[in-house]
Amino acid sequence: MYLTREEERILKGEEGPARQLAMKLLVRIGEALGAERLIRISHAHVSGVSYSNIGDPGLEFIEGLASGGRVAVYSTFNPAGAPLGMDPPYPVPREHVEKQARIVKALLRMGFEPSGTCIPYALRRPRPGEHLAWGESSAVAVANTLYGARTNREGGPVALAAALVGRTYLWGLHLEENRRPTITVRVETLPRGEVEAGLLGYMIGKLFSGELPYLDAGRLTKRQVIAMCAAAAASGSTAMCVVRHVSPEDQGPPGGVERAALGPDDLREAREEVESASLDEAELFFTGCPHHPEHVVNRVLELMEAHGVSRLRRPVWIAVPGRASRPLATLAGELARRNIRILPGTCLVVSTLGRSGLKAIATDSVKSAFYLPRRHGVRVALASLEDFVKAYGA
Amino acid sequence: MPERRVKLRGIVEGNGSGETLVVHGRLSFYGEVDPERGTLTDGRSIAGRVLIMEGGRGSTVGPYILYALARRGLAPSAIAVVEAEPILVAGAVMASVPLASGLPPRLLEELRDGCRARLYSKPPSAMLIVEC
Repeated sequence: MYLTREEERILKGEEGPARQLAMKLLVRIGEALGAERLIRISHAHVSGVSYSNIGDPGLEFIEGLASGGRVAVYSTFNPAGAPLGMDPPYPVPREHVEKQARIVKALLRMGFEPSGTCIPYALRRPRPGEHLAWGESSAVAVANTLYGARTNREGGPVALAAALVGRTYLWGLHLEENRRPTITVRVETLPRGEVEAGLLGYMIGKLFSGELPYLDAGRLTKRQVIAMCAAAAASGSTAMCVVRHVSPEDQGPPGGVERAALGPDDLREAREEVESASLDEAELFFTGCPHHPEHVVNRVLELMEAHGVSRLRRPVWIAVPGRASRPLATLAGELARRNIRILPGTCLVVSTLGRSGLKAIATDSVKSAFYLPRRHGVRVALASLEDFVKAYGA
Repeated sequence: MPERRVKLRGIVEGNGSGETLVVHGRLSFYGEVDPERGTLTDGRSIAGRVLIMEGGRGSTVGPYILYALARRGLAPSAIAVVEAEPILVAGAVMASVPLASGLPPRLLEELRDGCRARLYSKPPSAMLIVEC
């Protein structure tokens, strides 16, 4: 692999052991994949920061890097395993809280933005054609599909290495020729709302993993594109779609590629596969997978007002970026009276939810519906927030 | 089986030797390797072995597991695979385990546990020597 003089210097350890290890990681991976060289990135986003996921080995590794390593570019990190700065509404062992705090502290010492979110694009909007090194599979798919920025799915420590040296290996979706659609998928039932967009994504990931699908799914909202990308990245290894009227790289339906169709039967099949509970059984509603921007709280309040609901009989939990905690903290009391809990900087998928004793929850997130039963043994109903507000309004 | 010498592609440098541990497929370190004991889910020990397999797969937490094994002295002494993917390479670099790719799939078919193996890896080349 070709290395610049500066990259050689870092590899020799002239900028310290942390950068040396980071450079070695990227160079060895690049060589294994046959990459010609490294490229500079403008934003690194690191997944794998939840203590319940990475445990003591991850903590030790991150603290080791933080003893001398500093980020070289704008860098953000994924949700933690417990809410940041607020008490969780479910049991989190003390050891977990303490070790999670150490992981976050180590990241901040390295110069990471106080982030704790799976929507790094909400903190810094990626530009078309820009190179990124992101972990978090849903954010990767959104960056490529919605923003036309370029990133592969970088595993936790790999994105961390990219943050420390501001580079990644030139391979995969960083190369123009790998960003062209390989299959056209005709969407026969245009998705309504977030749940159906997620179900569509689930089937895309399941059926076309390894392909780069071209889709025409009507006028999708941004939140629908995000829900679709997140589900496709969970059920398969989908890292990019080209979506008509949405993707900056849309050049119209591609010629000369295979064609497939997704119809109403496929969406039904998706729902049958991911749904394991009914709305009646749901003990609470969880929304914010991927995270909502913090103004979503207003939408919930408006929805309650529209249906004349002052307090919900069963709670709504909303996951938002970690740095949203301060403005929202002032609202916490008011929200609690309405039976709404804010979960800043965390994610139920990487949490200790399995210890909560919860048996069934409702959510509008197909990604969560895919992971929560597998990770925490919790059964899941798919519903919109409005369905829930109507069902559990006082 | 007589002594076999195979030229491989060196990915992570170093030399390692030990008994072979053969996995006919792709291994996910996260979920399929116990980081406290250094064993696979079927109970076989990975510590000090020359791990021979098709490749790695799965969760991005995998590299931390390999790193954890190394910290506890339970890492394999070397890894030889048909194909190396980023997660496995990251783990091998973090754990300083010699890694080589390009193992012929036919040889993987023939190999069994408990043979003597040595891997010499000096990227871009490597040599695997196996005696049964």
